[in-house]
Amino acid sequence: MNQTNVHERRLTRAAEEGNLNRKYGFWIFLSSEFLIFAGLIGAFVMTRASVFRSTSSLEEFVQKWWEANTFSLALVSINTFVLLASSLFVVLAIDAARRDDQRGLVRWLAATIVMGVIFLGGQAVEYTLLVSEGHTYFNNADAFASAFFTLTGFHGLHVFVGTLICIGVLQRARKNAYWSGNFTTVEIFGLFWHFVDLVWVLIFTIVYLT
Amino acid sequence: MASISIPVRSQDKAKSGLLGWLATVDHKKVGLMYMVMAFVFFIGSGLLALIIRTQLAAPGMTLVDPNTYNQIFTMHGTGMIFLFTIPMLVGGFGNYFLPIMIGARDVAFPRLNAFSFWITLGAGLVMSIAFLVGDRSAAAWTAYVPLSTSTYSPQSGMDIWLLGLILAGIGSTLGAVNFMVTIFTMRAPGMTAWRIPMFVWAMATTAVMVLLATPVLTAALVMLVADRNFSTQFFTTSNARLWQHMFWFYSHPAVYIMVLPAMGVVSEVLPVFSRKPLFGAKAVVISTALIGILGFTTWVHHMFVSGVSPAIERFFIFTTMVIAVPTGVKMFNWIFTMWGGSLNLKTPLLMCIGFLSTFVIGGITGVIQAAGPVDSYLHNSYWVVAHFHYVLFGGSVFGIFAGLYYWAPKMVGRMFDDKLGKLHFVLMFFGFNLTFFPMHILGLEGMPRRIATYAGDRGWAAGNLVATIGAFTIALSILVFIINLVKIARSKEAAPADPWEGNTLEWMIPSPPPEYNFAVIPTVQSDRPALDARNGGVTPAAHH
Amino acid sequence: MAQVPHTSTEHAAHARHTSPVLVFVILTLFTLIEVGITLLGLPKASIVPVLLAIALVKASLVAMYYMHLRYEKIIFTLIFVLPTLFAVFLVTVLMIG
Repeated sequence: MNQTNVHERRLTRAAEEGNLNRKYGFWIFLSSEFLIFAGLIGAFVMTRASVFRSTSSLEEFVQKWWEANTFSLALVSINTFVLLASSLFVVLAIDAARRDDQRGLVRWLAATIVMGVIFLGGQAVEYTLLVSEGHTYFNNADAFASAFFTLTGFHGLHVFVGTLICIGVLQRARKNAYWSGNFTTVEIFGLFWHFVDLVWVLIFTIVYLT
Repeated sequence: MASISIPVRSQDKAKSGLLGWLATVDHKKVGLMYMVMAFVFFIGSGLLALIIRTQLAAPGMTLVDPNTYNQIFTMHGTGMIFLFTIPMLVGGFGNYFLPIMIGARDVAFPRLNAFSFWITLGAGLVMSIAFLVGDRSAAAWTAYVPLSTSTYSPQSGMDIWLLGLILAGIGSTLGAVNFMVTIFTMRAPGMTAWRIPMFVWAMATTAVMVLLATPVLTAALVMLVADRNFSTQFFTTSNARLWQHMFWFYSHPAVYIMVLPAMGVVSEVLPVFSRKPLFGAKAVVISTALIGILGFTTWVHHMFVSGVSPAIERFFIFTTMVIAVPTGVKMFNWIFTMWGGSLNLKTPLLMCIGFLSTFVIGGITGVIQAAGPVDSYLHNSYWVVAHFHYVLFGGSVFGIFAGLYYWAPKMVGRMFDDKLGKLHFVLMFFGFNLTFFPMHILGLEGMPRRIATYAGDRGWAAGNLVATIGAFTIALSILVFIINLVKIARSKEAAPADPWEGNTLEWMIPSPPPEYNFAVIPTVQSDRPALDARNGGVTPAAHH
Repeated sequence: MAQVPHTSTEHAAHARHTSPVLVFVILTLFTLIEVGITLLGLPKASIVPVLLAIALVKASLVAMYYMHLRYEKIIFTLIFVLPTLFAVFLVTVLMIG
């Protein structure tokens, strides 16, 4: 499609209503997702508390856990920075779509994908370190590893899915599908990505720092 | 412009035959499919209840062995809650009437809506196939750990049960998203907050509770699946209460998910059949919203004997007693709606009276056992069985039948036999009280719930026999209902668009409604648009 | 018609007042402060409330500016706040119960 035609494009009334509905729907869906994470964070907190209360061998384990943790704190901080930066890129991508800046949209979406992949790579390194120290999940997991891997893994799954969605949005953006009058899909992807970022902010503090 | 008119697209025209049902995205057809599905599971789970009652009719009966007995009450509870009550009220009534009552042509996401139904049906099939081919879960619908862990429930039926529950949760969550958006954005012009019908308010609150409670259960279910299959240790260490917290964080709100829509039905039926406006409509709406919020703050009262700290226990005793207040407000609203009205004593009204008189007992017993010290005596006794059946049968099921009789003419376009309906009501009302009232006494006498049989010298025989007679009376009443359904199907008497002189928008369109619901979207000018139309008010006629 | 220019000025104002880059810088600073506090090695009981408060501020910043809650209708904020309250309540009870 020709770029100069962009401002003559119009959405039907039904399509506009559909876009608004999708935005409402996605917010409501996110509120539900938030409670899944609340459940997993709650499970993590309660598991940690129960491990603290238990016998000395478990306390020993907890001590080892914290040592492993401080070791990976630098890595996790970098990952946090990466995810925060990716959120900024998504904001810039949406701004570009609002200004009909196709190249900017594509560029910032591509940057978001790169950040998502870096985050997942960082998480893979972290998991490898933990597994090498004997914290397994699928075979003979301990209580703490259970809660930790389930919570962070579920979040990582969201980053993974978000990255896939971003690739899809990028593909469509390259075909000029989004313009100033119709970028709800980019906005909704943005909502998802920011939500994943927001949850990470909480996980970072609750799991790694407190 | 007073109203917006959208031309009906040709591809939206109904396909005929079976494919028309399988491929439909029409909210009314989806709603009917939910209702049919739910009713089938109602019959199935009801038959399981009859086996339970037969086994307990006399001391020492050996109709089924204890393990089978456990499997049967597990499936009875699961089926009645997840595959009957919630799909019937939320999926069935919600889908069919919520869009019509707010003057919309469909829900916001019709295809997602159909998907919700099929995934819920999938959940039901997964659970019932696992039940029918054996290898069943026997850990009760609460699936407490460690009973439900791989150590004590090694059978794969437990995993299938968990999977089914996860699916049912996804189905109802997506449905709730759909309802919320529909209510937010698709109301007819003029339908301001206080003009939204009571049933729709109830559904909105229910949708919020589904949205915010279900995910926590889903998380717990996933964790239990991981525990059973991946060797994680969420529930195998010192953490047994974690399951109870997360389970009841869903399952206490679930009680309101099952009761609020029924309350919404009652709030619609009572004004119509009392020929009076709903008494204190705003109070009904506010108390609905309060129940919705407070419903999330009471779950620990299921865990008073599981060992919670005294401060937490006191807090939850308080909240549990407080939630009785908005419920009480509603009771008075309904009673004063009928007070001085010219009562049209048809089956829907009788069912509502059944609702009021039984639900109030369930509410009061709830306040009694909210007190921690009392609860530690009553916990896991037949008293609790009596209490929650007074809430969920006396509340939800009477509400469901009130709604079915009220809306049947609208949905199928024919009238039901009111005499048979009254017989149904009388049998069900007496059968219900016969079944569940003695259980209060049995509980106080110390009969624990979930036991497969009992010794003759316990003195529980008389109460149990009465309860069993009551259960078969309920079964008989359901048989009468089915005969009525057959008569409706054969009836030639077409129902008028508005047989009851109703208040809400569904009575302004033909029975059954056309696929597009409204030829012209009506403009709403009060909380009783159909009444306005009958009185020659300003609202234009919707069709023809 | 009066609504259209109003909306566009609102957008312009938002672009002027809260640059997303500024929000990003603040979020990064808060993160560094959090890590710094942790590395000081103070007793856990005294730093945990501070860390949780900072996390809450960060999460609110993401919701308000990145997810645009500040510029949307109030209903979106409600959709967001209610689950947050329930989530905090659940986690609190799990922690002390």
